[in-house]
Amino acid sequence: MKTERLELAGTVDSLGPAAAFVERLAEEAGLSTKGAYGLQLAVDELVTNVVTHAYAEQGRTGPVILEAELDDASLRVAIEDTGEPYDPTGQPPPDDLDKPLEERKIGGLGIFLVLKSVDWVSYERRGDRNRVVLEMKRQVDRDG
Amino acid sequence: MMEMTKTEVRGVPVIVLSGRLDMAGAQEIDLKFTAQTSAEKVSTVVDLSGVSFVGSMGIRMFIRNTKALALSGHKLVLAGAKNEVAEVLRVAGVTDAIELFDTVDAALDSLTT
Repeated sequence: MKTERLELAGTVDSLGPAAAFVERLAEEAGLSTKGAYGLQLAVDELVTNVVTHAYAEQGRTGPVILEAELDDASLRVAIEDTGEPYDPTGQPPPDDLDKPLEERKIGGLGIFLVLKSVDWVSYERRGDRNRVVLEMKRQVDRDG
Repeated sequence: MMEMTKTEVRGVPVIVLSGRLDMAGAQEIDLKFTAQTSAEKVSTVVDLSGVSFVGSMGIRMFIRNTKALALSGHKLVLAGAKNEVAEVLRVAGVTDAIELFDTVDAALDSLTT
């Protein structure tokens, strides 16, 4: 099993480096274009959430730590932050995706996209950190 | 990095975007994009063919501008999204409310005929 770690500042400038990290690992794992894009989207949404909700809105600063594990079966990417406890897997889905645009609330969409884009999402509180793990199976037919 | 240019084709404004429309990208162009759609208050085509990535912040920008244009009876339509981007727009439920066309030409046809 191969592991890699990338520690970034919890700021908007870290989105690009995080995306590049995931893109490289997805390629190494041989994910399909669709799978690689889905993982990149999920990481992007989670890092965006950390930067805005865990840090900026709370007047805090902190790191975003990415940890990747690649084995024969899957690629897992963990995202850690030191914000208040927050479990994205426990959030209700937006209840208004089927409503006309005019009646829809703005928000809630990021986590919905995370859950839709990867094969598995898990959350744990580890010490003073939130740790969200995203998993993509390496051998899955995602129709392109 | 996002880039935004505006042209006019067949009398319809076309906003051409390129780059990554993540939070950083949305912050870069949001003001300019919103100023453009609110200044003219006419139906507008957004050419996404140069956009490699769209996240929820980009989607929110499209939704907000579509709602604003709808108040004056106009539309924002999207064109030329690559497969993965189009898929995200579909998953997000955006394509029910904002039309997505394969090409800018098809988008223009929908607005001018």
